Amino acid sequence: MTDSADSTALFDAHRDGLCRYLTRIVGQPDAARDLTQEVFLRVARAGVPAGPPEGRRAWVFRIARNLALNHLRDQQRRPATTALVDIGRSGTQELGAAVQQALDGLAGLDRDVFLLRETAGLGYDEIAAACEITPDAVRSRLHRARQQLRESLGSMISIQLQRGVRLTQGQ
Amino acid sequence: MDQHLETIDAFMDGERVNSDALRAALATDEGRGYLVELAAMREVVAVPAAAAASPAAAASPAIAASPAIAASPTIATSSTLATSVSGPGRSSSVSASLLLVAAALVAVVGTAGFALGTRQSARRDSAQAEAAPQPTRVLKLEAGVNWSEGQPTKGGN
Repeated sequence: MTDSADSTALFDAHRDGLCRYLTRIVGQPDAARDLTQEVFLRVARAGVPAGPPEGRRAWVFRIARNLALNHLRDQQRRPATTALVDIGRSGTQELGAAVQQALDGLAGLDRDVFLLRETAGLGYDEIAAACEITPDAVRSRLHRARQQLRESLGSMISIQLQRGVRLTQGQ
Repeated sequence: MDQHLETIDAFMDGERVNSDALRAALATDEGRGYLVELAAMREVVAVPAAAAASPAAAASPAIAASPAIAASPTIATSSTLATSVSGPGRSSSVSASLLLVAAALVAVVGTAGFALGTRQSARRDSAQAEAAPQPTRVLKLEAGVNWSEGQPTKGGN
């Protein structure tokens, strides 16, 4: 397969997962879409490395994570302008805002590990490669993140429990 | 207890776990409760499909560039190129494209209409030129009238 075909295949396989991950990590769907494009521009420029699909996925998400962290760093330097748009939000938006707030309360690496698992569906080894930590560290950080979110999203989880639950493997 | 809950985490994440450890973890009320809450939390944090619609206009992955820029956390994000093909900028470029297409369509239809009209007009003109002229006087021949006999007219033969 050519580099171009590899890049296209990677894009097709991971764009949805990347967009979900980036949406949660930067909190803005528009910015997440832009960053998704940026990830694949970088993938195309760099060329896809040889190796198993899991390794490639981890590589793509490492690029995404780095771009997201840069984006968040840039955002912190700018004055906050989002407070006024919170008026008159729908229930879905309120839930989204509550989840975002809870995620923002996590330590940076814990949040990344959690989101790579829950929104992108990466395995522990892939998350370890993407975040450059060990699989054991992934396991413990993931558990810590979940414990913290369990507390901060307690009321939302209770509502969900009343509606019923189903087993999913994350997105 | 955390060890038990981490086993449940791993099981829920599709990782391979020791079956005895899982059995032990699920033998406790807390373990079972945690499993159920984990399933609920997963639904709560799921990204709504509309919010996470991936970019439709994909950047072409065939762009050649230096591999050195990939995966570097120190590189500043330059999203101007991406913005030009997606997000708010895209809708205006789509509108412009639609406007161009509409203008082209109007031009094509106008030109075709003009050509067709001209051709039909020319055909009508030539058809009119070949037709016999309409008579200006009508002579009626009546039965019983001898046109060859009768009084010769003055000055006639």
